[in-house]
Amino acid sequence: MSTTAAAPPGAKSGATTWIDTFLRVFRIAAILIIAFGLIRFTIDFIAGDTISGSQLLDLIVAGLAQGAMYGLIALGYSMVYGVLGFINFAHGEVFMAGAVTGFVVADATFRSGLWESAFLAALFLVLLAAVGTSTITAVLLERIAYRPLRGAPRLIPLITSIGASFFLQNLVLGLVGPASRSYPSAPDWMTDQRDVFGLALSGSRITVIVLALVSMYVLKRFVEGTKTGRAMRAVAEDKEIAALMGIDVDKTIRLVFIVGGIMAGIAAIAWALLFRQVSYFVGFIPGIKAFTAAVVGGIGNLGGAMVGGLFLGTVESVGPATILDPLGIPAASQLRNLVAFGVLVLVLLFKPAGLFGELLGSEDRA
Amino acid sequence: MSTTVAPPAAPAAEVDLGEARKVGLNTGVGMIIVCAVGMALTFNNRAIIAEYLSMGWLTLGLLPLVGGWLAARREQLEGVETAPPGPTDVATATLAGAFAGGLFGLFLIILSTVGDSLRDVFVQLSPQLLDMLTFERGLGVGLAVAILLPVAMAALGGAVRVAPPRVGRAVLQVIVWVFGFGVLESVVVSIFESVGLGAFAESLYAQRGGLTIVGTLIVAAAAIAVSTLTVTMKRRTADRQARGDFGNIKAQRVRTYGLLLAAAIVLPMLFDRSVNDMLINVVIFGIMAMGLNIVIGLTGMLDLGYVAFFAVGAYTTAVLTAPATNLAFSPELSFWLALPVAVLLAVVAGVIIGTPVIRLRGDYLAIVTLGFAAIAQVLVLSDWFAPVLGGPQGVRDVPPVPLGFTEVSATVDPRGFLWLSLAFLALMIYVAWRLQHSRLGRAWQAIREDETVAEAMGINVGAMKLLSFCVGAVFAALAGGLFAAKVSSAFPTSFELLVSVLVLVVVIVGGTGYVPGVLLGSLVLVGVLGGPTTQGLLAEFAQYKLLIYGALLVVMMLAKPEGLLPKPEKSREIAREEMDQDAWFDKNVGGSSDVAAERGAAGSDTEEQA
Repeated sequence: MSTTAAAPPGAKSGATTWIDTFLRVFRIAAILIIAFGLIRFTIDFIAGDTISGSQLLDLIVAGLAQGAMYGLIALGYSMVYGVLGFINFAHGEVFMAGAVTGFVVADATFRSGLWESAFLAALFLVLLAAVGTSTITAVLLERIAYRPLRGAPRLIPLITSIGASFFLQNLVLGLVGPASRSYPSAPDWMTDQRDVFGLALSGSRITVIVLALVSMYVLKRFVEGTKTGRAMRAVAEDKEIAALMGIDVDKTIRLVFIVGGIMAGIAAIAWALLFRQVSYFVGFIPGIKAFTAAVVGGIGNLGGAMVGGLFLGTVESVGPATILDPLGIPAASQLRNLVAFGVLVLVLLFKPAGLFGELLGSEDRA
Repeated sequence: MSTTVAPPAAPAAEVDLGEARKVGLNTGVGMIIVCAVGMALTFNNRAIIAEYLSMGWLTLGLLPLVGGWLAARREQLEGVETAPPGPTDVATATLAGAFAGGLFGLFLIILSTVGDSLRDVFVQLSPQLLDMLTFERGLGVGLAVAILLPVAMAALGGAVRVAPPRVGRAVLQVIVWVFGFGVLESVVVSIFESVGLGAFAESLYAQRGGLTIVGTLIVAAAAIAVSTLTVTMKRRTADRQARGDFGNIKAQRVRTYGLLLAAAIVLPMLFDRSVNDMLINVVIFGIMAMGLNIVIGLTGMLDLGYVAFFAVGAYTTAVLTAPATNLAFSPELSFWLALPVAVLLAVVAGVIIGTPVIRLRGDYLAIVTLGFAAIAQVLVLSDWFAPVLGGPQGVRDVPPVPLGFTEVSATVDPRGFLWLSLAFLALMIYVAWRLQHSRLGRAWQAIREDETVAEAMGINVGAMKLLSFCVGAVFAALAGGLFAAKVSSAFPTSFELLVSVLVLVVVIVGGTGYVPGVLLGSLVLVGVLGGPTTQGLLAEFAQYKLLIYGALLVVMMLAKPEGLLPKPEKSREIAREEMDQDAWFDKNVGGSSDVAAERGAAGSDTEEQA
């Protein structure tokens, strides 16, 4: 086999040093490429050859808004990973289910005139529907697909969740059809550009960022301040000991999925405000990106998930213009996803534990 | 489950209400989904038995059949005597059917009353669906069928479970055969025609599709005969082997391989074009699945970016062979020169993608490889690489494969291309088989079982994992090269992430780590349901195959993670382990049933507290 040549003669004894060498080269190359792009961009930026300052700020704000949404989804990944130790690949579809249901309700309120006359009331109804559907989907997933597999090797629930992801995606496709539909447009006072601290920000972006930060704060208080939250952390730490301490493990795990579902439902509304378009496919790519955000922040780490989301959103929004474009790559704006997945690969290469460290159950630390 | 304490003695058989409710409601939801995604109506156009049974109704009927079969299952706790299967289990199954029927009837009432307003959201709740479910004879008839059909089918399923295995197997065979013959009408007719029995085949089928009643009876009789025959033959072989007479193993092996070779040469002559074309897809995906089987099944690495290597193979072959005008580089090499280059590039790609991820935890590896595949797809579609790879237009006009004095093109002569692919398949089966049973293969399996122990045994884990990754890439690149030559093009849409997932389903459904299982999985899934971009024999499945694949993946993981055709050695190992455990238990503890019951009780107590 030609592949045997891939293992050099010296590799058999002791540590696999050539893998380390390869990784080192890989890292250095990545740093050099990014640094070159950034320096080139800075020079161009000062010379005024590239995007203007206000354009850059606009990209950053757009990225932050989108990143806040990723952060909300990432919380679901992070919490499930922290407690159960596997990647809930289907969490993106939990988000999608909320977004699609939200559309159905929004469309109904639009037809009845409520959307126009009392936008906030309509939006609240939509939020309720999206959060409800996402939560129910998450709980059903846990009950049907994951609970029987508790204690199985990590890859088994991961494969299950991949199957569940495709099932949910295509179930929604079968139920509501393949067409991409558009939420009714929000009233002008919502979408108008506003002047905040000298920055021109659109109302929906501000709403999304505020919504995400408030949800995050409430969640943090819930997990850190309440008895139930403490039970969740105890279960994440050690399920058996937690059970001995009188904590209902099944109930607590269900609660983790409920919280993840609620956050995904809120993220669905954020998606509606930012992009308006929904279809059965909207959960897949944001799901993977949100997982990236969770990894960036350190999986299992709630604050980290939010920061990771904001970071990823910003990098993805700014990266094509500031890193790829100066490298002479044509049509760099097509490559947003490349930047996002590049972040995933690089973070795992440089710092697999994420920026703020992983908080995992005891069996994962071993 | 957690609340029932297993009694020590044989329990009095009673109807399990909880189980019936659970299974019944799940079955009902399944039936509603089949209707609400439009599956039932789409499938209704294909007749299985002319004028009596359509595939739509068969699907609706099979769900409660399986449900009843599951509901009649008795929890077999080790060391605890359970009552022998009996009529009460059938009652449980029937009750489950009643639950399913009730739910389905409710759905029918909702559909007939407010279906019109629901259609804005649920696009498939059409009047035609209502007509199908009520036979256009009003709600009363529809409700009667909706409730009685699940009850009857579930009762049948339960009865099959309770009946002796011989009978159960025969019933299963009849269902599979009738379904197969009904669905694969064109294939069956074309086979019989090419051996000169066309008139006989025609007589089985009605004019407008579907088996005739007589045809159904003939097929059912054949199924029962074959079922009985195989059971008898198996028993005879088992008896002989029990006596220590294994026969001439070498001669048997030669016979098996000879038969396979003959089948590979003769069968393509009997099939018509569309079947041969479908079989090429099966073979290509089979090669791919064998490669992923090495990565997942043997080494235990979940590589979700597998499609990237398939794309590398296809694109390299296409770019090197096609006389493309829109590309910067087209040397127009021969297929036989391009393929080694493709394989070599795939190895390079394998090293580049593999090295960074090789040290990651298993699940991180899955996601990062997925990320790499996503990056590859973005790059292929981008303007950046468009001068080399053609962007969204892809590479067209990949020439046929030159073979001596002739050329093999799948569009002109699928038969020839099928033989070519089969030759590749045979080669790759040999390679996979030799690898699996080599020192390398054992090292991979050791890594799958326990990395730390493997390392301690002197296996260079990093290098071995990378090697497995690259071997998988070679299989995928070969499949990709064949694929490009087959469809004579390479488009970005053929290499979406779902290809990875589909191959994963093939490997997992077939049985991880076992080549025949993987090939069977490929035949059933890609051949009948269809590949990611290719159609299977049943065009109706095209829009539902991903739904089915997703559900299959979940069901397999929950019910039978080792696959439908598990590796014989593995199940033998598991059985031996259990026997050893029992022996230990009997020797050290004695009176196994009491202790087991105590153990069960203690277990459920803690669970209750939890």
